[in-house]
Amino acid sequence: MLRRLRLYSSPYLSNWVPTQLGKKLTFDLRSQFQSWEPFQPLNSFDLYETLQKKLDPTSPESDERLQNYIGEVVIKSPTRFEITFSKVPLRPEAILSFPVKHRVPNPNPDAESQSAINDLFLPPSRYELKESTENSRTYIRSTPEPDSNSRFHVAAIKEIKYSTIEKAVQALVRGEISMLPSVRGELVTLLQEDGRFFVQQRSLPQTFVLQFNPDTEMLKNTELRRALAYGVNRQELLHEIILQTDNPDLGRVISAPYPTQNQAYNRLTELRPYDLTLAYSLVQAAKTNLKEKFGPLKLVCVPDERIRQAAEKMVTEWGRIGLEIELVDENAPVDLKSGWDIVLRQHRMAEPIVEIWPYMTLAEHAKAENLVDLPSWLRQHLVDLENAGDLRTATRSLQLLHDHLQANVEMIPLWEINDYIVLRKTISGFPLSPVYPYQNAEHWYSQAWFQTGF
Amino acid sequence: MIHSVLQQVISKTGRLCLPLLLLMVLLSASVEAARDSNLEFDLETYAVNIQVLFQDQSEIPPALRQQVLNRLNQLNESTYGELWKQEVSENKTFLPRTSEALTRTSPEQLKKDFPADTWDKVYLCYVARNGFYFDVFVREWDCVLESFSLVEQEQVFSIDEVPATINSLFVRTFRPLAKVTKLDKTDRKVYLTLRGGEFPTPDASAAQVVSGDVFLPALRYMDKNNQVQKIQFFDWNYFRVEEIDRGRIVCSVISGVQTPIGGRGLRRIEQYGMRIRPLRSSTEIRLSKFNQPNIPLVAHYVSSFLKNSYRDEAIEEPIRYLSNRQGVIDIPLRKEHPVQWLYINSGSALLGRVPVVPGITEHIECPLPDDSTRLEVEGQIEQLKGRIVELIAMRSSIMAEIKVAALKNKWDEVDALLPRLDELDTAEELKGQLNTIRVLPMQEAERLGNKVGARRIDALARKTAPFIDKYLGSKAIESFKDQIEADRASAQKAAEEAAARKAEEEAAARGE
Repeated sequence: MLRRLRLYSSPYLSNWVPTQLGKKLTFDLRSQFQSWEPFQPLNSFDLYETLQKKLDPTSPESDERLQNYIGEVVIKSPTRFEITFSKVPLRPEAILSFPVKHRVPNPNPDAESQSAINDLFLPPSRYELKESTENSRTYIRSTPEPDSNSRFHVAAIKEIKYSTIEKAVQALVRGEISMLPSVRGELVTLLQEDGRFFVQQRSLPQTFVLQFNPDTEMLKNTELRRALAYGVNRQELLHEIILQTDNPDLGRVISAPYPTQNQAYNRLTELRPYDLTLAYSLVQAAKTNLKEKFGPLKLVCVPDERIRQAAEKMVTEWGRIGLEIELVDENAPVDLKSGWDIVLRQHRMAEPIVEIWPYMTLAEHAKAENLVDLPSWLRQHLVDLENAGDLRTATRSLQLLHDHLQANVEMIPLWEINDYIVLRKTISGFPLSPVYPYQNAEHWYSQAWFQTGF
Repeated sequence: MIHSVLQQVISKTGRLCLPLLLLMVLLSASVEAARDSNLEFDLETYAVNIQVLFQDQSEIPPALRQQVLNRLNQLNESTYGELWKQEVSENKTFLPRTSEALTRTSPEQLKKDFPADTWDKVYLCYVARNGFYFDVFVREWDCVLESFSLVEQEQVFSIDEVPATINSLFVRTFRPLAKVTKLDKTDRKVYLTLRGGEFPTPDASAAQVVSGDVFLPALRYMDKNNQVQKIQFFDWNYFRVEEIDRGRIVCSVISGVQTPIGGRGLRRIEQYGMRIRPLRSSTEIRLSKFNQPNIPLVAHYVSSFLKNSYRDEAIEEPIRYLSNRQGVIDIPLRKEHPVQWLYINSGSALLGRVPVVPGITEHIECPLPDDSTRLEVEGQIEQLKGRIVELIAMRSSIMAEIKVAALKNKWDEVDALLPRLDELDTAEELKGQLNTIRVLPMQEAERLGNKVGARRIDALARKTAPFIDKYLGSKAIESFKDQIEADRASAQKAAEEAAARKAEEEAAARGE
């Protein structure tokens, strides 16, 4: 969907081939791994078992969307299986992206029960947690490399927590750490100019959005939602607090919850300007309509220092137009029933066609029951998007949805920020445009580093 | 049927077996008696053919099978007496010899083997050993209305219990027929004549009809030669039994439409009712678009009311169901009140209102009007309303700024701000946009035959138009401008007077 061709990969699959115009998908599993690769081979039965759990409506792992798409799963051999779709999905890889547990014999079986029941299902892990303290975590490679190797891949990863990003950058420069998973703003420019580091842009930008709790009666008022949208100076907050630079390549104000590079992003949709006078008038209108229902609101924010600072500024601005909004503690729970009214969310959306439904319903999976809290026209839009028969229709539908979401202020998209992974040049073997920080970490090499430059 | 079997017996053996022939002739006579067309419908009995399939197992030898059949015949007679003229036989032709034979047997085959002019009902029974138990399956085929009942199943401990179990399954699956004699549209009553109603069953628990039972209406279309052309059942229409006088029954009509069955010009059309009782604990209902049945209606609320007519008050609070991703809801049977009314909503709009008796079928399709055009319009109108709200707020804020500037006598500022009021969208422009939103979807809804949808779209637009006039009429801006001009004039006048006074004072000071 991005302008670049999006590729999916899995270390467990050698290939997957769609046939019968996408109605059938044949998967071939890798049967052998290199001695240094920390993967436990999966077989068709492991996958079948995982899929069956997702297809069983009574299972806790049940996936309503997969049940709608998958008609049949057939095991052809221990390394080959076929999925026949009852409805051809537009993005089969996107709906089939989930971890598969593999079956291993229980080292301490219960003598009385059958052996198959004793088996354990373990999630795939390339690195296993070995040690954990308040400020650090150490992971070691799940399969050690043979001693006969002439060159060794990364054997352990130690994560260290720093109180601020500046301290983390300082540690990188001093050589305490070799990598920073997410750097943004002016620091990116500084590190790019430094020359000692690889600065790799993440393939998916971070998107920040204000979303409303569907249970909050007060926020069903359209004037109030508009007032909130007009009362945020997004440009200023982005440049002065979050990025601390006005470089447009590093971040921008947006009007949809998915990347601006996505073809479903409707560029004709107008960005809502900052207009405190208009916001004040809208608050007055909302007060008149809501009467006694008008009251204080609670805002939950992602645990990110800069974003929280921006949220504090937003709360102050909203206070100026007569809205009493409390910024809740950063460790507060964010589930729908925990009493918050507005949430400042951060996410990366790769496939809006598939991901927008659960995103809008604030749920993990796309479930029909979660749609009931949405306005009927929006519900219809999401269902139509799901039923779209081709990519062109789906893209058009998503563009329309973008326009309607913006016009009706069903959410307030704030910023899109390009963040970067910074690695010391002693690290090699990493992907050029990673989707996530530890992508292919088992392939990375780390060379010794000696401090120079004094 | 009997005659064809007779021919087979003669041709295959090459000689006539006299006792067998006599039995055949007797049976033929008894069945033909049931087909006397001159009889009143309530005096007509049922010609019933019972076909029993046994699984190929050594545990059920031929002698034991014959015992089962004989015992079943006796039990039938004690249960239905004169009402049924039955013929019980073992079937050795249906394949596969598993319980699937009951579901895989096609209506075409049954129509050919058991013609409606000879038989009224055919019962397919299957008996199989399953470990320590015996499984018994029964399914009824109605030769007149050419329809199957659901398959009923029981498990018993010994072969001795099999005949009694089959017989009890007959009682459960038996669907008596009645002819519609009169339809009273005013009172929404229908008068039926029950087949064999003048022959009460010896076993009271096997009575054909009891008060509160439900009939499914059906039409049987005949051609000039009195051959069946088409049989039509009516989903979402029921006759509920109110009064029973032997073969004469009075029912109330439960239907979402005005006239479910009957009316004028029904020559060569036979109107029937088939008594049907719930055999399942629930019925799955799939909601779909009537013009695109493959598209399910997802996340639609369905409220179920316990009442017999939509005009009645529900006897308790409605239960709400939500259609899943396949557009399916599962409505459970309420034994104390089998008839339920379902109200299907799309947002605030009522899409459909239908009665249902859960449990009589496993699955029903419920095609409903396509509401997507209206919902699209609703979204666009919401968008327009949002724009209107913003315009009102913008106008108020500009007016407030102008007032403040005017109070401070900053007329240059006032002159700079006033044109901004004219830049805002006018009420006429917004009405034009509203019309654009309304017209095309209305035409589309009418083209699809969805008149209700078209009316709803029109109503949505009509509700919004006064909103535009009320808050964005040009009069408000004109009167505001007039007031500002008046303020400006009075301010100028005051300034001129002040200047004149000042000049006079200065002149006086100079002693002129």
